[in-house]
Amino acid sequence: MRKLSFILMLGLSLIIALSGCKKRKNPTESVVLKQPGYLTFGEKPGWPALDNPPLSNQFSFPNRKIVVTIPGEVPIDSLGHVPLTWKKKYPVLYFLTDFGQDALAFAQTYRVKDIADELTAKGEIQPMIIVIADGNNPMGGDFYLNSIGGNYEKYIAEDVRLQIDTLFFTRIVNDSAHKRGISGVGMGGYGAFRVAMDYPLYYSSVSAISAPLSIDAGPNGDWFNDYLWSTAVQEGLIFSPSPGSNIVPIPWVKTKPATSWLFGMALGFSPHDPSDTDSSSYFKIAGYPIGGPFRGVDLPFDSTGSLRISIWNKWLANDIKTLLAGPPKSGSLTNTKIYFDVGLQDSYMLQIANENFYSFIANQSLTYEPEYHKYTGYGDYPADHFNFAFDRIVTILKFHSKNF
Amino acid sequence: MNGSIYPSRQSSTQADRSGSTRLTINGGTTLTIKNKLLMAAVLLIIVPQLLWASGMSLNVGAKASALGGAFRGLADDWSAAWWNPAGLAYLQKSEANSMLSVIVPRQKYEPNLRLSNGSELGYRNDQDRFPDDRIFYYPNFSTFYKFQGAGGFTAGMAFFLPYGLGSKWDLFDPLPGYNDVDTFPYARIDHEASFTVLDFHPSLAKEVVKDKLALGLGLAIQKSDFTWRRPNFIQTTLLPIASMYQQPGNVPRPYDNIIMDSRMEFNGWGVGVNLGVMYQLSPKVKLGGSYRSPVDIKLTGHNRMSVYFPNNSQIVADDRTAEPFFSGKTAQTSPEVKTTLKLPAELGAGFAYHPSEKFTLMADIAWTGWSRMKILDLSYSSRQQWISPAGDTLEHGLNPIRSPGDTTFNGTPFYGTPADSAIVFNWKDVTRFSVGAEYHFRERWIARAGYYHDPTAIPDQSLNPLVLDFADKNSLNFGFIYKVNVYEVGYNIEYINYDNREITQIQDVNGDGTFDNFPGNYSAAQYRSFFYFTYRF
Repeated sequence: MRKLSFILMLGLSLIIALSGCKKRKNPTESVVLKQPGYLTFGEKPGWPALDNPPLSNQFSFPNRKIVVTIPGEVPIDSLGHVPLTWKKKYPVLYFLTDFGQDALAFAQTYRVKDIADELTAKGEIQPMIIVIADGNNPMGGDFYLNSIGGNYEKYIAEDVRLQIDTLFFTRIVNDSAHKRGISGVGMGGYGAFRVAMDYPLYYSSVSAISAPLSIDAGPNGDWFNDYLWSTAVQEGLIFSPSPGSNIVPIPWVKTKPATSWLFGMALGFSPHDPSDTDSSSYFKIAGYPIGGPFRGVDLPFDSTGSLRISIWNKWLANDIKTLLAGPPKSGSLTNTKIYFDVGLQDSYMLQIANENFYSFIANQSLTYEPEYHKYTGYGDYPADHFNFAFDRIVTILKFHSKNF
Repeated sequence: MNGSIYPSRQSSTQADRSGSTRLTINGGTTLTIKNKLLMAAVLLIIVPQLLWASGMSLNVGAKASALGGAFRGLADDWSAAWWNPAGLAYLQKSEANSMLSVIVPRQKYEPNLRLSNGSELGYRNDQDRFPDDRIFYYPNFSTFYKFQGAGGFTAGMAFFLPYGLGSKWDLFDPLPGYNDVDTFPYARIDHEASFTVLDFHPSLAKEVVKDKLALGLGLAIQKSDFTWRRPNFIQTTLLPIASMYQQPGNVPRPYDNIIMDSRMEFNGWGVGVNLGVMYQLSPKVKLGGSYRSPVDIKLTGHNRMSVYFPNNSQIVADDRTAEPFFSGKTAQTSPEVKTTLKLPAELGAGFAYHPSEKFTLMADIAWTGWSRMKILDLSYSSRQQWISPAGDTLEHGLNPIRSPGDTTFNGTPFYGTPADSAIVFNWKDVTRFSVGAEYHFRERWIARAGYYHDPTAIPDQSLNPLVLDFADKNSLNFGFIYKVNVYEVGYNIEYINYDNREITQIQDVNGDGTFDNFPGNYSAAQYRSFFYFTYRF
């Protein structure tokens, strides 16, 4: 009996000792499938280009490129051909870049493809096609509107979309509106909302990063007066003493961001009507179209600081919040999933615009509750216009992925 | 007074003709001192190769471990050299010992390590992570001799590991898009710590009042090896880039911080003493107390720093001065570093009570002054160039990383020691309680059991997965011993359970820009086995 007890005790001790010896494994690292690089289009025959705009093709950058990244699992060859046997189709996210930003430069700076590939490999997003487009021009952009610089909105919503849905992409693109979303940063975020509002049947989700979604005075301030106009004046915006001789600064300069945005918005919102005889806030775009007669833009204020109501009304007619507040666009985003964010130290003070927009949109009757996120900085690293790029791209991709 | 409750086998020494001392065991084998030393040497040789151990305070001695460390009031084997050197005066006979500890730590850490605003840093958050599971083996050994001269005293030498820890983790990878991981993959083992103290411990004990009072003294000659590895995050704005990326708001994430793998390896020596007293209150009750002095170990080593620069051709195109730092390459340097490791003092007391001949109960309380472990200030005694993988010196002799502030070395700006200028511990003193029992259930067989409660020394502000002292610990011990003639073999097992612990707030205690704790969920257990062999002569 004692021997048996001894053996039992010994056995028990060994079991306890050995029970902790099994090697454990950490979660397996996911294999990241990657395509070798971005696909770029825009120079190939048959690829759509902007319609010949009043300011000429030279103004609208005829060599503009569309940048596409497709899931790493797609067996695409170096010529861009997908095997006929490939059956899987993917949702498409359109991403519009910021003011003055080139699509390829954007994709490379923020490494959108690497982020998407890794999130896909981890199962955090579903594989998707990402189409990056820009609205850049010598003035930095016109906020993706159909204007004298080119019909950017039509280009994005119709020409590029159709091109992506067809040709060789037809084998990998799911062309259902439920599988299509649009997003953008800054000017691109504004453009994404405008495109989603004007073409609600094409997009099921829309998102914006640091976008001017409300320009007028709201409960949280007045972005146009508190930032855009006052800062442009501080940056040295001056009117010529002789009306009609004001010149739009071209090219736009990074050191005068408010001035640049002011003229970019004016290009989209209030291009000068040649039949308008009031040239008190008219700025000429010198050199375009080539050979003249030159076109230009009107600013909402004249040289005396007086508001030009007719011009301001043109601005309001392009304000996202104002558009959604009444017909005919009031219900255009009712069934669209909405996300937008802003950094609380935005260099364009867009936190004012976004707070106002959220105060408005949160009280609208929408099928899906809009999502709004405010980025805060850490330490002495502020949450500026887009410096939380990595985090915001990840969030945007996840938002659209869950809504596809 | 003999510490054993069994009648002792009398031994005597006599000088043989050759002059060597001969020990005669009752009717048994006769061994010369030469042979005994030879046997001790054999014991030294057969002990396994020394490996890094895991755990903070490692119980010294199998018997003391089996009793949960409630040993200061008994202290009747070689490990008294550590627990209470006065107990050596009551060794039955001279003895040589060898012990092997087998330690299996089982840590688990679920990181929740984000920037203060919730942004990701690259840690593998929200998933259970395990270190590389390893089994650690390490030995203790000793030889103590009872001298008859000078009224009788015991002297000898022990070798053991009073402290040790070690773990290797894969917890981090740069954020997607930081650089081309295929070209310069970040190290798989990105967090590592190894801390071992080897104690060479000559001791001396004497019974100063017969059957009443004994005193003991020990010298702790300690060698420490210390390894510490973790990523450091260096603000991009500290790079000598000329223009736009000098402003924090202009550096897009994930390039707000440059990642540097920092692996420090040190070793050094220190000396301390320990004192003990043993007092026989009655035939059934003994009291013991001991004090161990703090030990300062002067460490010298190198910090092998490898910077993994981000790769972004577009940023380089925007700002050519950023080219050396945004080209996705790596750079290394390995300057000499010095620091002082301040090991704690310990004060403890205990008692042993013999309610019957076969049964002994023990209890201990011990205070350990871990608050000496505050901030390990690193002193860089040399300035070295940063070298690229191709062997090029970077930036015309300037190092790419600049320290916060205007640190200078020999009058020139000192580059190369960014955030890792100190390791923050800020530990706190702890008090441990132990109880143990011993039962002689047969003439040759003894069973032992013990329990202790040991609070963690590490506060929330510096808790990390590298040091296996995650939380308060409860330890259960059980062992048995078999004695035959002059030999004794034993085995005991210890199970240590750690309380679960959650850290939610990331902290930079000393404001050097490097976080000092690792938020997340911690849990752990430890299994320890002790095998030992004693030869008495």
